[in-house]
Amino acid sequence: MAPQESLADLLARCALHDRRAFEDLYRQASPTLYGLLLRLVRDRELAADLLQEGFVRIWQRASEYRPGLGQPFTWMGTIVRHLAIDRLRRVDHRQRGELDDAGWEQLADAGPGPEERLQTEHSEATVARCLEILDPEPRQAVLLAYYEGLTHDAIARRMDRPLGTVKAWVRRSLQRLKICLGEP
Amino acid sequence: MNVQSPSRRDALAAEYVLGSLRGAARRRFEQLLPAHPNLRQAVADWERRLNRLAVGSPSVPPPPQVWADLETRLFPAARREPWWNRLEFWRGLAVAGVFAAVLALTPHLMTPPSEPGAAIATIRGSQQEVLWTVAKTEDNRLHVSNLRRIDVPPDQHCLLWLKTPDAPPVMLGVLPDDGGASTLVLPAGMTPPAQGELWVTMQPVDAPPSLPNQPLHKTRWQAL
Repeated sequence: MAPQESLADLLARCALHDRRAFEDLYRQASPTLYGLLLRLVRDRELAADLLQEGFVRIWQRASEYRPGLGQPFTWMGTIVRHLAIDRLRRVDHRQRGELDDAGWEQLADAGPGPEERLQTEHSEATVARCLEILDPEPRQAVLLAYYEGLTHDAIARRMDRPLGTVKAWVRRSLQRLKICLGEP
Repeated sequence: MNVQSPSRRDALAAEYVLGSLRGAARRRFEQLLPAHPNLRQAVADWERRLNRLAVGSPSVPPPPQVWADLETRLFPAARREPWWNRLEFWRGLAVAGVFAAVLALTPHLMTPPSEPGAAIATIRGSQQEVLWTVAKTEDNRLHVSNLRRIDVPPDQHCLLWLKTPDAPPVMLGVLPDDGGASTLVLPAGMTPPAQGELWVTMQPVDAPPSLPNQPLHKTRWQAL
């Protein structure tokens, strides 16, 4: 079997309007990006719409990708997360609630947690290591914001902690992460 | 929203990328972005840091309809058959049989209709990593992008050459080596042939380009 082409190379070929590269890119990246979207919006149909929109932008903006912008997943993740958070702003997805926490766990196949999954990717191991230096509750607050698109308010309710505490956790955790992840 | 102090900019950008900056504050923040380059830089830095978390999400295969919709949306003509598979071509060929004598006199009628799309090539390094991509634009220029910074001594630069089987290599221009892109204007009157090789050489900046015998990298050039 031919070795899998790297995502960066596939993006480079997409910039040249190579449709086959785009198909390969979609095949490699869409399950992770769909997983990310699903967790954020908790609605399969909405997540599928956003995934489609995200890949349209990835195709159109592939020429803007530069290795200096980070790993290809970082770049593609930025694109789809923007779309999702933009949508969450308009719709309170918690009230739609197609997938509650139990439904989500089932769909996500209760695999390893985000930190364990991050360990498996060499380039992402630093993030996992940096998450570990955070105390458990502040770490959970950061992950709830990132992966579930929760506001400070919603995190406070979910964790049953005062709003001020949650805000301070998130603010301090981000600063600790910045120092640990290095500049920039 | 005060974004004058660096620490304030950094904190806002972090919460913006994390997603916890919401509602009216998020909108105000986005309105400030176009006029504040250092705010945009702070956002880019945080995206690079935090969005490494994106791979930490569990994979879920998307419904097949998403790809089908994408294809329809981006490539409305994607399902068009290539020219040798098109009924019209073979129908045309059958008619052509009748006029074989005419055709024999005008062989150019048999050349396939040109497909839309630019010629592309990727120039790879020894590890098969893509170093540059080269595309022909519609106005016959070459758009080259450098995907990985190349370690070039300060007094040298990388040159791109086109080599066809029966002719010496022709210099096309200087390649970007700093991760950027540039457009090379082809020598006057030159049309890139359908096939050939692209050569990359490294030469002193202040010396006239010398015809290379051996390129540093080479790749096949093919018009699509």
